[in-house]
Order: sequence, then structure tokens, then C-alpha cells
Amino acid sequence: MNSEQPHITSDKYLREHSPSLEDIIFTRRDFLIRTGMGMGALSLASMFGLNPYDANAATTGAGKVITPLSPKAPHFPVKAKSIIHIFAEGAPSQIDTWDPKPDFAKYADKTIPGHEGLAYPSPFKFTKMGKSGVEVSSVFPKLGEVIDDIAVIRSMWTDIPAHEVAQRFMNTGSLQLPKPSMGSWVVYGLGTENQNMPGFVTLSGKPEWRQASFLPGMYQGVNVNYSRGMNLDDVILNIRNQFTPMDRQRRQLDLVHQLNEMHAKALQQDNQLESRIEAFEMAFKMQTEATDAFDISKEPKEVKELYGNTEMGARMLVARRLVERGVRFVQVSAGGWDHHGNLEQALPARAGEIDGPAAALIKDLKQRGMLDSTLIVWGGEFGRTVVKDRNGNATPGRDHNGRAFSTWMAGGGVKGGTTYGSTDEFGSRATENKVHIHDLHATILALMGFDHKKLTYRYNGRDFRLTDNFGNVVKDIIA
Amino acid sequence: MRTRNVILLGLAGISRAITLHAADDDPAMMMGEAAKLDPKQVEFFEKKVQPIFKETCYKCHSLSENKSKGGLTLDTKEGLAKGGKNGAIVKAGDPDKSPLVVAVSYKDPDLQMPPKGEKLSAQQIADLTAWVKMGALDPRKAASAAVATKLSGLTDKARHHWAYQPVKKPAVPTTFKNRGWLANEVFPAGQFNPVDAFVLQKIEEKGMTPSPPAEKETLLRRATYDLTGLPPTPQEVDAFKADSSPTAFATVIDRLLASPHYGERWGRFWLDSARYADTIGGDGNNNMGDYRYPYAWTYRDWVIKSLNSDMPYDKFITQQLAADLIPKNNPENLAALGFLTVGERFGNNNDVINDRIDVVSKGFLAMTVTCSRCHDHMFDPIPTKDYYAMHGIFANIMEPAEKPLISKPETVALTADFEKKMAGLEQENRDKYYKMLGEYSTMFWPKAASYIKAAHRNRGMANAEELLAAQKLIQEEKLEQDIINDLRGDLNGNAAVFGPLKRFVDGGDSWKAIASEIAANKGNKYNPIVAAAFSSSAPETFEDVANIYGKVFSQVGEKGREYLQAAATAKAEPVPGFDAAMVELITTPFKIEVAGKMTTDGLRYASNAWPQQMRGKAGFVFGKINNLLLTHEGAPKRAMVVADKPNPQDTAVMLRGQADVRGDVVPRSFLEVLSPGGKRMPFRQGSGRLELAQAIAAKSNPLTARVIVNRVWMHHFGEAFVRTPDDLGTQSEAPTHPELLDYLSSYFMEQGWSFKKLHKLIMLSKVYQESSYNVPAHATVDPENRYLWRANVRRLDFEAMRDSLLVYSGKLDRTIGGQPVNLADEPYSYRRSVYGFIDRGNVPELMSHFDFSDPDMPNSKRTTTVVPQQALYLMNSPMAADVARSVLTHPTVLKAENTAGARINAIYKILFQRSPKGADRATGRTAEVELALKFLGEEKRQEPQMVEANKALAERSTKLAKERYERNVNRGNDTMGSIQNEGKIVERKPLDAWETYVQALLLSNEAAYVN
Repeated sequence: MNSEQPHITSDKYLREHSPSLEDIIFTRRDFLIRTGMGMGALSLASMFGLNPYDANAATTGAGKVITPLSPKAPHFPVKAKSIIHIFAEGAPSQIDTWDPKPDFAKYADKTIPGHEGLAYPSPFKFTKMGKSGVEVSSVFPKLGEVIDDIAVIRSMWTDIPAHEVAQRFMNTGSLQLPKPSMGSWVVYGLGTENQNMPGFVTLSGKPEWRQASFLPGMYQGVNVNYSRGMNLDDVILNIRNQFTPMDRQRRQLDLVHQLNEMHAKALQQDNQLESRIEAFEMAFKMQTEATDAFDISKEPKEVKELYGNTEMGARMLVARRLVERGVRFVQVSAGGWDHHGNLEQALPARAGEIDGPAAALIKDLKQRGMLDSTLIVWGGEFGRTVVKDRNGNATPGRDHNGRAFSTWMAGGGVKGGTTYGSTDEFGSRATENKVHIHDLHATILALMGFDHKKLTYRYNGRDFRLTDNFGNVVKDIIA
Repeated sequence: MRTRNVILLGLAGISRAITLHAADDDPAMMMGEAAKLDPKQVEFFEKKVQPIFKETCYKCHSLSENKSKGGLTLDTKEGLAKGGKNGAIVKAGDPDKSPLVVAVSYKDPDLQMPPKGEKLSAQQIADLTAWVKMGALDPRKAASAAVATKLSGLTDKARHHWAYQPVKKPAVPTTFKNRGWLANEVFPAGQFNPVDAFVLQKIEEKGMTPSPPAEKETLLRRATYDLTGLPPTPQEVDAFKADSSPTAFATVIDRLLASPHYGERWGRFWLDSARYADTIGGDGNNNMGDYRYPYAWTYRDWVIKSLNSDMPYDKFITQQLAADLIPKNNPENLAALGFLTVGERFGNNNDVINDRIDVVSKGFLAMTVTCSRCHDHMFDPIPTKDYYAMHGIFANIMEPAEKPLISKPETVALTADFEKKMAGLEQENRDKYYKMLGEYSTMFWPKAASYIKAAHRNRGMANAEELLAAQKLIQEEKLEQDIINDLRGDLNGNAAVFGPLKRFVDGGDSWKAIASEIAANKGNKYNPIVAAAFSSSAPETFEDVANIYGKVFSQVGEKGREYLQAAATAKAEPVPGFDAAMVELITTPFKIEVAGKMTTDGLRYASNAWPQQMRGKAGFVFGKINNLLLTHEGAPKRAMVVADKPNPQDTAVMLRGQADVRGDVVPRSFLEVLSPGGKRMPFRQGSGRLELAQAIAAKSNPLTARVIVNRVWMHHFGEAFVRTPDDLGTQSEAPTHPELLDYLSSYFMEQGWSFKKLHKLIMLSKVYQESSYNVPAHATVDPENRYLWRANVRRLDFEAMRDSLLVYSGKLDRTIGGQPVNLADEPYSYRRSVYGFIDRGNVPELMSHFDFSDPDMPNSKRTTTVVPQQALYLMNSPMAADVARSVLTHPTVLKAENTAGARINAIYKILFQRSPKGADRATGRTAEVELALKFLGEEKRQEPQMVEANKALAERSTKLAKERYERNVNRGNDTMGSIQNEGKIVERKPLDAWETYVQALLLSNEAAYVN
């Protein structure tokens, strides 16, 4: 019996999670050593002879600077190029959203085995929708229209059903100790398509959900507390100059380049300071390009109407504009699901916020031929009890439950119109084809072209990965 | 109804639950050991017993399910043998005395497993009984043995790793090809700097030659940034250039080492190793009321001061681990203990201890001890026991609520003003405390019967009827949920008041008998008022019991209100004029503390016992208190100390890091591989912190000196001998210059662990003074310059970059030490960056863009990345604009002749500490001046056409700046990252041609790098 080490995989180099992390080196050689990514031979070769990032710049034959943010090939070819993670923080109730349990109705206000409190069947009706006939809750009518593009996982589970911990777990794969966020890992692995945009953008959310931790700071998410009508000057720190018109700033940068040229010549450095020069050019372009990405007033009327004239509609639209511009990972906070009480009113209201905009996003991406290359993930950090929260309110709600919750994915090579896994008769505990947070991460990375066991970063003498030592890819939902 | 501590289970879903995350049995492993055992018994265990465990017990009792209810796990040999919290569950051969058999056979109503009527089948019970009778053989392989077959660093090879061998001072090399390069005017004729000897030897081994000395301006800039993190002033450049004596550079080094800015620079390096931050991290939601540490900065200041005074490194270590235990210690040194306390505060104390083990082992020893929290280190000779030997040390320390005073400001008026404001806030908090208690208590007392019914019927094991009744009651009587939640605990825990209720619920005797037993109140077990109530009326139903309580509490009313008032001014308990029994009722379910106990920390502690919502509702002003401590000039300085707990206990190994699955107890002691003879000697004094400090700071410790010398070298040369300065374990690369590392380590210790002497030796070397010019031939041999054939070109780090801007602007505030300032928002601070407020949960974007280390963990080395956001800061930030503007009013510029050339020259002196260069033209001006004049000419020519655009820009920017400022000011004191600086925001006036030119120089590579 081997259960004293139940979580250890056979790979002897994959080790238990350790909190001990420290220095980072970024010389060329180390970068290659640390990047145990098994990148495609070509891109790997292109990394040689270069000093990625660092102060030591590198130019290829074409004169283009290659940096750790340059686009890189994943381990195997896939359709998905970018991710939009709609994080339903607060933990949505599974049996009211994506896990129908019609037979559970008979237990209303009774006790059920293994549970404290009164059974509380879902007050919402589920209807088979689309060609696939996947059952959709009445709180998601619009998503029902695109259900054939959606794969629902009904058998999610997590370790600790407390918000802070579980949210950290969902976003970093670590319950307690600081680790890089999922977006940081993806951008570390794939670089970003547009050097004039940040590779990882979050629209609100907690800092630790976007932290680079021991990965270099450039992989940290850039946060924008976006709201409709906000001043575009405020979307990214120092994105616009308040002291110099752009044409003068252009001339100023030209002068800087001339100064740098003289400086480099005097030092007889070869390409040493090139990447910093490039960074100024990127920054200059970012000023217009990044603010433009957030300027939804530029969208045609029918598109704006599709997404709806709401905050969430605007956020989804911004998310599309970002991935359209080559941003690798966009996380949108779409929270407020902690329904301890008043579930019957509050949950549909919350669902109504995201229903239309998320459906619009799927439709819009599809129209543009971008759905295949964009993976959309929706879900919270855990699920909820199928019994009433014991607050005794006239309008009941549900308490926390880590044993079952639902998540859906769309686009990016996901098999639409499917469901995966199931829960017990009450919807209280995942039973069949259980999918743990680490499994979800492994699956997301697989959809992005990574073997999650090989997307590693050498730190403090060991290789770290998003999935720690765990994770199984849910192959059945990959088209 | 009997209450029983029944364990609740999830539903069904048993076997599948294990498939994902639990490896199935490993037949090979099992058979290896089983071969020696009776095959029949082995088979019985595997076929009969283990399946029962798996299907019905693992869900609550297994490591694989991460559940160990009652401390019991059954999926390992050790777990089964150890039993649960109450000891062994199996007595071999004796089923009747085996709790396992008793539980599954449902013989004891208080011990039934699986619980809730999910009783095993008769056959299963018979099988378990038979197995115990046969001797309860467990043929599974012991976990520790299994672990040993895995990758492990517990090998002799690892123990012989170079870093764990004693430091020996090597002989200095004497034979060279290029002996002339060694000649060093500072040393007596014929002698040379040993540093150079070791370096030259390697360079020559590789067939290279070292570089000639750097120009004087370059060297001064390099040395000044290295030791102070600031650029030299134009005057310092002139003085150094004018000094042609052989000791000119030595004089510079002495001057810089004596500068108080030295400690700011090198202190910041240490603060990276010490994962310094001003907040508790995470969401800050660990019930401190505010996520900020009000006194973390006193540790930061101590570090700066200690380095400035060249405190010997061994003492520097000891102070940070055990300042409170050093006899006759200067009280100021207590601030050193911040090293232990300024880390992240996790919800779980074992994680806090882990953080402390991490910072000690990596910070001082560059050992990754925390890898051994769950298993023996896979590469280094660090057994799990090492981790728990250190765990024991930090498990036995606590943080006293009252933090010792280091000093108060000298100005009496400031202190008085601070104290007045603080007293006001503390009173506000107390008022809120009593108001909240008054509100809830007066809701409870008159409706106590209903509350008790609701709380009881809403308990875990209630049936549907009861739950519905509770629901109805709560709705009809509009009961407050917080009170019910709090009361639920009291019903079980407050024996004096609710013991009688529990007695009825538990039953066992007739209720009449119970009533008279309570009324008799033998040994004064119960509150006499409660007991007396049961003498007059004997209840027949739970309803009656609750109603009797209702009557009891309804008497509290007026008295309770009086007590609340009296407590709000009372200095100590008991409050005079109140009967003890009555007070007991008044303070149920909410404890009402007297005002004398309500210090800020006392209040934190008291309100922590409340339901979370209630705390929120009370609206305490902990944030304002911290804000006052962090910003008021009259605030006292206090030390974030620790103290030993009175009765230190050793820690038992936590198997796989799990607190409730324990292995052997490990005495508090030092790490095995670093102990004399590899034998751990138990620490005897208190927690053992002082002994730990002494073990680390011992000259015989092979790592301590090497680790710090490696880092000092790194900060002087850009790279260390070993490029992983927080890990010198077996996974690290071999040092480039092992002999030099050992030579310097010996020298460092011989010179009394003096940093300043070490700096001087290094900086007086020729290798330190090399030029950074490229030599293509050498670049092919050693592209990374590991052998130092030239000086490295280094990018300024965040602090040096930002501080330089302040120097250029002439606005730098050179005050040493003090409360933290905001580095992220306007008005921008003129203080050095080391004084910035660091929120570890939300490091300002500006800082992470410039590669500031993640303060969640020790990080002695920063990355050097180049990202567009860095450029955006220098191009667009108000601070950058203000600096560009201010350079033009710098005294050096104002003093210059009023010609463009002279002004440009002055600006170059300030920014680059040199004169403009480049080939002379027919004009007689340098190329750089030419370039400037061309730019300025063009911009001046453009200016008339820019009037409108500039006007629009100014208007828009002014409005935006104002909005931003208002947002910052109004975001409240509790929100992340807010320490509001005093001062004015930068005027949004467009830059003119000259200002735009100066900013271009600030953007240039030369401003960002040191050669």
C-alpha cells in the first residue's frame, strides 16, 4: 500500500509543494535551464545566441528583439491562442446553475442523510437546449442559446471551501503559500502576441490572482479596474502623458535613440542595450494601442447592443477587444455569488448580469472566427450546499461546499454541447469523473498546448509548475 | 435527546473519491514485506479488512482524502497503529477492548462508526472482529521505509557538498603571466590585493587578460552607487578628479562607507533577504482589524542603523533572532526581532512558523529547509526532523500585546498631540464596543427563551421538524442571526449558565430528578440564579427549559444596562456593586470586558470572539489607529518583538506536513548537517532562539560567512560566485571562484565580521576598478563575464533609479529613518525609496514593474527585466516631469553661464557626472551638445504651433489629476496601499523645450546603467 505518499507521481523530479522560493537569474543560459518548457526545436534554437531580456538585449537576424514576452510555440499545436477567464468569485451554487437535480425536489424542507439542515432543492427550472439538449437553468436563457458551444463540467471539487483560500487555489494552484497565477504561467509559457500590449490583463480582482510570485515581474497581470465611461488615461499606470503632446514626445524619443546610439558606440557594446530602446518604442505605441483596446465607443452599434448596455456587457466587450489585439490572458472578475440568503432573488439577478454578455462574447467571437482560438472559462472557487444556510431567513440561501461545483468552458478547442462528470443524487458531492482544481488547470494548459508537467520554472533548486505534483487532463472535453 | 459528538459524513461516492488523488495500492511494495508474513493473514487483511477501511472509513480517516477526524487515519500502517486522539483503536487479540470493534458493532451509543446509522453489515463486523482476534496484523509497508526509497538528499554525497565543509583560508596564488596588472598603489611595493590574485589566476587560466582601469568619473559613479545607491555630486567628481594621490580612491571609499546613505543602500539589500514588508499580506483578513503593521519600519530602521555602525555580522544575526535574550542589550536592538515578525500572516500558525523557518534558513544559511516540511529534502541533507527541530523553536515564541517602546519624539507638543488623538480613537473604539454589546445584549435578554430555542433547534444534528421550527421562530420574532450563532457555542461551552440545559438534553435520568439535581447545585457547579430557577418549576419539555431560562434572563434587563455603563468606565474586574452570579448572566452570551482591559490589542482580542458580521457592524477604527501610528510625527517607536513562551514544548514531526498526523517528537535543535559530528544537540534555553543564533553565527558554521560574502560580491559585481544567493545546496552551481569565496569568508570573520572592511578590500582591488569596455575576443570565451575580464554594465535597481531622480531634481530629503511613505501616488514623496510603504499583498505596480522582489519570501537577488511599463513611468509619470523641470533650477544649472552650451554642460554634470562628449566639429562643440542644440532649436521653432494643444492638454490633465487625487484621499485608511503623503501634486503645465530635452536625458540608457 502506497497511500502514505498518495499525491506523489512517478516522476521523481516532480516534488511536493514547497514554499521555499528565492532568487531568479536571468542570463541566457539560466533562462534556458529554467525554462524547462520543451519549446519547439525552432523557437528553442532561436533563443540561443540571444540574451533574452535582461539588460542584455538580443536581436535576431531580422533585427527583431526576442524577449521572454515574445510569442513562443507551446509543447504541441493547438487552436487556442488566448484565454478569457470569467471568474465567478463568491462560489455559485451548482444545483441552481449547471447541475440539474429534478428528483431532489421531493426532499424539500426535509433532512437528508449526511447533511445538516433542511434540504433546499433548486427553485429554478432546467430546460434542454440546443442540438445537444444539455439542460440549462432558467437563470441562463441567453447562454442556453449557445449551449452547443459550451462544455459543462459538473464534477468539480476543491480542498477548502473558504473564499480567500479557495480563490487563491483556483487562480494560483496553491492553497496557502504564494505561487504564480495561472495567467502568469500561461504568458511565461507562450509569451504574448502583441508587444504593444500587456500579455496578461485583469479586469478587477485581487492582486494575488494575477501575481507573478517567483516568475519574473513581467509576467504579472496588469490590472485595470475597468468601468464604463472611465477615463482612458486611467486604464494603465502612466499610459498617457499629461505634460507633453504626442508629436513632441515622438521627437523626444528620437533624440533618446540618438543619445543611446552614441552611448553604445562609446562603450563598444554590441546590442547590449537594445532591448531597453525597444521597450521605449513599445511603450510609445502602447499609449495609443492599449487605451484604444478599452475604448468600446469605437464599436458599431449592433455589437454594443449584442453585449448589452451594462457594466458586464462592457467588460466582455473589452475582453474581446483585448484578445483581438493579441493579449494572451484576460481575467474578468464577475463575482458576487456568495448567496447565503435570498438566493431565489439574488442568484438570478447575478446570473442575469453575466448571461447576456457571456453569450454575446461567444456569438461575437464565433462570428469573427475567433472562438476556436479563444478559450473561455467560467466558474467560481467552490460550490454550495444543497441544504439551506442555517440563518433561518424567510428567503433562504446556501452555505459553502467544496465537494461539488460546476464550471463551463467554450471555444479554444473545447467540445461544445457536452457535459462531463456528475454529482450524487442531491448534487452535493462530485462522484463520477471528479475534476479537481489541479485537473482543471492541467486541462486549461492542455488546451493551450502545454503538457502541464513540463511547463516548469526552476526556482530555488527545483522545478515548479502550476499543477504542483498533481493534475490529470480531462481529455473528454477536448474536441 | 442525547447529544453526541457524531462525525458527519458526506454522501456515498466512496471509492471513486480516492481514485483521482490517491494512488492505489502498490502490489510490488506490499508483497516485498508480505513475503515474510503469514500469507493467510496478509490475504485476510487485503481481501477483507482493507476494503472495509477503504469503502467506509477513508472518507473521514485517511491521508488520501486529507481527512483525519478524531486524529485517526487508516490508510497508512503508522496511522492505524497510532490510532486517534484517544489512543490506539486496536488491541491485538482483544476485540472487546478494541475501540474499532466497539465502534463498528454499535455497542456503545457514544461511539458508533460509521456514524449516522450507516452501520456495517454483520459480515463486515465479523471480519473486523476476527482480524483483531487474529492479532490485527497490518502487512502494509511502513511509510518511512517507503519514503526512503524515494529521491532523497540524505546521502553522504550530499553531506560532502562543498558548502557544508568548513571554510579554510586558501593560500593566495603567486604565479602569473601578467604580474604588472596586480600592481596596486594602495598596497606596499611588491604586494597586491589577494582578491586580484585569485581573479587573475582564473582569467589567465582561460587564456584571457583583465581590462585596464575605468576612467575616474566612471569609477566614482560605480563606487557611489554601489555603496550609497545614489549618484555622486558634481563637486565630488571634481574633487576625485583633482586628487592625484595614490590613496584618492581609498579616500572615496572611506567617505562613502562613512555616509549614512550606506546603510540605506545595503540595508535595502538585507531587507530583500528578510522579506520585509509593512503589511500582513493576503487579504489582510486575519482579524487584526487592519492589514498594516504599525511598527514594521522600526525593524527597517534598525537594519539601516546597524549597517551604518558596522555592527559585526555575527551580532547582526544574533540580534535579529534573540535580541530579547541578550543580557544588558540596548533596548533599541529589540527592533531587530522584526526580522521574525514582519512576515506574512497566514491563517494557520504552522504557515507563520514556516515563514520564519524559511527566512532564517535562507536568509542566513542559503538552505532550503522548508522543503523538508513534508518529506526529507530531495537533494540536500536536510531530513524532515531538521524542519521540526526548528519548528519547535518558533512554535514556542509569542508576540506580547504590549510592544516595547524604543523612543518617543523629543518634541513634547508632538507627543501630546499624538496622545490626544490616539486617546480619542481608542475611546471611539471602546464606545463602539459597548454600543454593539448593548445593542445585542438588550436584544437577547428579553427574548432569551426564543433565542435559546432557535439556537438549539438550529444545531447540527437537528431534524427537519426542529429546523423548520427554528426557521419559523427566527422569522416571526425577527431574531438576530449573530446572536444565535454566538449562543450556539455557549449552549455547549458555558457550563455554569447552560450546564443545566445540557443536562436535560443529555438526559439519562428522569427530568424530575435532573431538575432537583440542578436545584441542589452541589459544588456550585451552576450559576445559582439559574439553579434556583429550576427549584420552583420542573420542566417537562425542552420548551419548558428554554422558558425557564427566558424568565431568568428577563430579570437581567435594568441591571444589565447598568453593568454595561459601569464596565465602560471600570478599570478592573469585578465591577463594584454587582453580584457575581448576576454578572455571569449579564455577560452571556457576550462577554463584556471592562474598559481597563480595552487597549487596542485587548479590543482586537475581545472582538475576535464575535461573529464576523458583528465585528463588521461595530465598525471599529483599527485602521485609523494604525494610520495615526504610521503617519503622526508624535507617534512612539515600538519594537515588533517576540518572547519565549513559558513552558517550551518540542514538536512532533507532522507526517506529510499535516498537523494532525504526528510522528516522532524532535528536540529543538540546529540542523543535522551543520551540527558538530552531524549530531543534533538539543537546545536547552527556552525556545532555543539564542542557541540557534549562536549556532548560525559561529565561525565554525561553514555557510554563514560564505552566504553573506557571496551576496556582498554579487552587489559589487552584478553576479555572485554562486548565482543562487539563497540556495547554496547541492542543486546550485559550483562557485566560479571557490578559493576566493573562502578567502574572503575567512577574511570577513578574521576582521570581526566587518562589512565595511570587506567592502574596502573588494573595492580596492584592480578587478573592481576595471573598465567595462567590451573585448570581443574575450566575449567569445566568456560571454557572461563570469571570470570578470571586465566590469559588468549594470542596470540601476528600482530604488537607485528613483532616488537618482530625486537627486537630479535637488529635492531629495536626506533624513535617515522614519515612518513609511507612499511611493505609488501623488503627492510623490521626496524621501528615499527604502522608506516606501510596502504592501506585500499588493506591491505597487510601479515597484513590480521595476523588478522589486516579491516580499512574500526571502529574495536576495532581483531580476533585471526591461518592460514597456518602465519606459512609461519615465516618459509619462508626474514625478518624471517634475524632475525634468526641477533639474533646470538646480543650483549647478543656475550658476552656469547663461549660454546653451554651459547649461547643457551643467545638466550633464548633474545627470551623468561628466561633460558632453563626442568628436569636435568645426563649431568646436561636442557632438552631444550639437545634438541638444538641434533638438532645442527645433522644439522652440515648434512652440508657437503648440499653444493650443498645450492648453487643451493642461486643462485635461489638471482635471484628471485632481480627480485622481480626490480618489486617493477619499479611499479611506483601511484600503490597500494607502499612506497619504503630505504635499502638493505636480502642476500639469506642459513641459517646454528645455524640460523636454532634460527628460530625454533621463530616458536615456546612460541614466539607467552603471558602467
